[in-house]
Amino acid sequence: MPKIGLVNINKKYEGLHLLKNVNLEIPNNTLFVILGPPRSGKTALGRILAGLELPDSGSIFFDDEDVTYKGPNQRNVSLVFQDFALYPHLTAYDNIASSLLKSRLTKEEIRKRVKEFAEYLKIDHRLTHYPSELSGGEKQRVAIARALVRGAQIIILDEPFVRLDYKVREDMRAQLYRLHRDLGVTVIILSSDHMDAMAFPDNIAFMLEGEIIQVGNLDAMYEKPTNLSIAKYLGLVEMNVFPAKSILDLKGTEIPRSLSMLDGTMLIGFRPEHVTLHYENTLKPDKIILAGKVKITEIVGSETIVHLDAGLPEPVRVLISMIVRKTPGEAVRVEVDVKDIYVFDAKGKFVGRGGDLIGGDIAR
Amino acid sequence: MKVIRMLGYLGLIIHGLFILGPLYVMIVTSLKNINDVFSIPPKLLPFVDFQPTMEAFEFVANTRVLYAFLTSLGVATAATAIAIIPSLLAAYGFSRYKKAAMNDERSFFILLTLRMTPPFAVVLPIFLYWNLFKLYDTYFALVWTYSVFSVPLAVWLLKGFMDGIPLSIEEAAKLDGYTFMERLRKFIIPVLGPGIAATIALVWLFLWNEFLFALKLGGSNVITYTAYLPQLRVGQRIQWNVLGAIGVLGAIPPLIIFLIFRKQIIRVYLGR
Amino acid sequence: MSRKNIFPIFLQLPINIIIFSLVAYVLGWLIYSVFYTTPPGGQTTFIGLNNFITVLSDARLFNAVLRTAYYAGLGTALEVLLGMIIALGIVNLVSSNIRRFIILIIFLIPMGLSEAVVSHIWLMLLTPQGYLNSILRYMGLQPVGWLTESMALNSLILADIWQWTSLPLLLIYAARVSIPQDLYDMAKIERLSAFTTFRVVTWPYIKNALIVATLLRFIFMYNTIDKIVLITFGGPGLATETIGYYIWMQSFSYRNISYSATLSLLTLLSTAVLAYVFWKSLKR
Repeated sequence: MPKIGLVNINKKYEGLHLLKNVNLEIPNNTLFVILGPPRSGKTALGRILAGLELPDSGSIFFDDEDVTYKGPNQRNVSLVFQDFALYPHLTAYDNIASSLLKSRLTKEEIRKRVKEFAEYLKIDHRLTHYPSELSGGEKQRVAIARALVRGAQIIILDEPFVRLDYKVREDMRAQLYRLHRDLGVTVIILSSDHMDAMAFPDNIAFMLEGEIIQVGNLDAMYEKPTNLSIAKYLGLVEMNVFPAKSILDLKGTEIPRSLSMLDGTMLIGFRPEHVTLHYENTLKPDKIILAGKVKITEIVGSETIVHLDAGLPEPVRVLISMIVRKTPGEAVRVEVDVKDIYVFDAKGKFVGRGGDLIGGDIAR
Repeated sequence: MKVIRMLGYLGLIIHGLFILGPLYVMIVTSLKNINDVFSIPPKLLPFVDFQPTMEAFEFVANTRVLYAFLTSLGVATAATAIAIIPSLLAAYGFSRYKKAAMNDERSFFILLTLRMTPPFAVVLPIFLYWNLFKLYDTYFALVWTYSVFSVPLAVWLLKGFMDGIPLSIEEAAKLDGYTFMERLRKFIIPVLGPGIAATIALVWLFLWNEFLFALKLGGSNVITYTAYLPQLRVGQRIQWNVLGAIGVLGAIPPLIIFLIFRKQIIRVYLGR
Repeated sequence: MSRKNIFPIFLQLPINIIIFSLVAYVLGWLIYSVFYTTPPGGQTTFIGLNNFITVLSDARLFNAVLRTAYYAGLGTALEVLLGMIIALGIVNLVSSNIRRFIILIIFLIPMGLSEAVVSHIWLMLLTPQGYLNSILRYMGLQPVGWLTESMALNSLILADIWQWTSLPLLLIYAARVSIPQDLYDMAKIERLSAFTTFRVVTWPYIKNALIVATLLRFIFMYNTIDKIVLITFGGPGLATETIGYYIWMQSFSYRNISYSATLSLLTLLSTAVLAYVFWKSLKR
């Protein structure tokens, strides 16, 4: 429940600068996602938050209390490990009860609490079983119950869905949301899966190479990512990114005048879901029209990804929200609205959207 | 192809007979009267070639040999007991604190070197050492020496098992509020259980079978069953049947250990 | 932060106390005895590097080294080779896991016995009036001089093979069993010959096990003199005197304390080198 403040957290390990001056505020009672590729420092941050490790410098505040040097037990934080870390020699019941055995509760009280959380997480019928006899989803629920039963106000989950299969993931995401809502605890999810960001879009912090690049809700990151990495990370199919020069120099395509004002070294990105098939043969003032040959067609579920060879450094990915069959080699024209374009500088820093171009905000 | 398969089976069978043959010979010899031991044709079938008798085993039960077996039992057990907990702590250090002083790879290497030291190179100095304290031919000397030589083996095995336990289990226990000693007692040792048992068994076996140190550090007081064996060869008549009987009895603990720990032992050699 | 650094040292203290209580004296005594000698009833004198000079001109030592190389070298090679053949044989010819298990346990028994016991079992077989010659005579054949000067060392190797082949066997078996069956199916599809299959699929996996097994057995045969002490007493003559037995003789029969210490020290140095080689091979 308390508001969490991380101030100037630094951590080095074996010469690697894992966390570089991390500053983050997590409001109280939120469901927060820390998103980032592997090795971005998420786990290190989570462990420092939980009190398993000390930062090299910096402080951690819960509300206004400096808890940097407090042990995990005094902090009221729980951590659910990626591999669940259940004690293999104890039953599910004993696993959940383990943290309570150190408290001053009576056996009856412990039994009550364990049953309470077990019932809430729907594993009360498996309490007498050992971890080796439980399924992945059950193991995770036992791990979560063990974390919750201590009465922690903050619960951190390290890559919680990575070891579950697809269907179970959906259930667990819903379960986590309900948990947060019903119990009023702050839930922090450390994840490298953008699907988790999409499932919990309200509070996201994106981490890259030990730094927090952007904080906000999913919409903000989707529409105005501060960094090319974030733009490519979010989205069902990875964004198409090309140097502006390669688009401007393209022959046989239509480039709106507004684009030609761009510096050639800048990077233009557009999402596969914003690319549509071009049918009419008319010119449209604010659309880029690309012509090319189909390389591969991927049918994924009820959608189609067409990889188009359009004379650009890489094939163009087009996401069509229905099943379309195109033969390889087939000539196809596609269009992208300039408003949907993302412009980045040569280093990947976000400059603006296509709409800013039209308004003349971006110039050479 | 079929021929090669037949040859292969034949090879396996021959090797099997090769292994079992001498064992059979030992057992049969232990059941013989001293006069029946060697003859032409060799008497290898009980009841057919010779009358089996328990006189070799009776000899074992009624003379110092029994005492020798008990000594082996006591010494091996005592040394293992002394070595096991320190080795467990050290193995924990080598497994979890690989960067710390005295726990790093170089230190582990020193331990490895100790394990590969030939006994013949150090028996004399050790013998003189105990002599210096007037502890020659005492239980303490042998037990303590055995403890020293058990440690490298025990640490090696325990570290291997320790490495197999994910660190996250200990961290979860830390988060649950347990101190190091509590974690060791309630979480590490129980989970390590079969590994510790296998280590104890293998170390004990190594000491039960040991010969060189027992021979030179013991004397008239302290004598293990292995050190007793040469004594049956003094004089004109070598008591082959008693040698066989001692061999059979000495083989019982290893067999029991193999049966109990078959899974762990196979796992140790298979590296899993 | 400093709390974290000291704790692991405490973990190592107990074993270090145990080990140090003996090793410190042993090493110190060895080094001291190399340079100082006390002849019986005489004065302790400094003899400098005399011992090392003696080592270099010690023909008996030289022969012992050769014998050790032969004993440990041939013994290891045969054990590893035989172990490999049997391991692969078991994998290819025995399909039932239970039967494999039983076979392995049976082959494991000799390893569980004391060297002292094994020595006497083989003494029963090898001694001139023993079982092997009795069987040969019964079959009308000539008895063999198993423990004569020309045969003794080989007989010891035979006994060692009997006892320890199962170690390389187990290690190679484990490696072989860890190879995914898919690779063999691919080899069959591509119609590779048995030899090529071995070279391309099996060998890369068992190569490491082979190296570890070889090093382990070589070091062990180098280190162990139990069978020599109990079966041949280094004889007949010097026929089975390895380095280890020579040092044993110097220590307890001739009581050349100073010289024995020199040889022991040199042996320990070579042990450290062998251990280093073993260590490096494991890290791969």
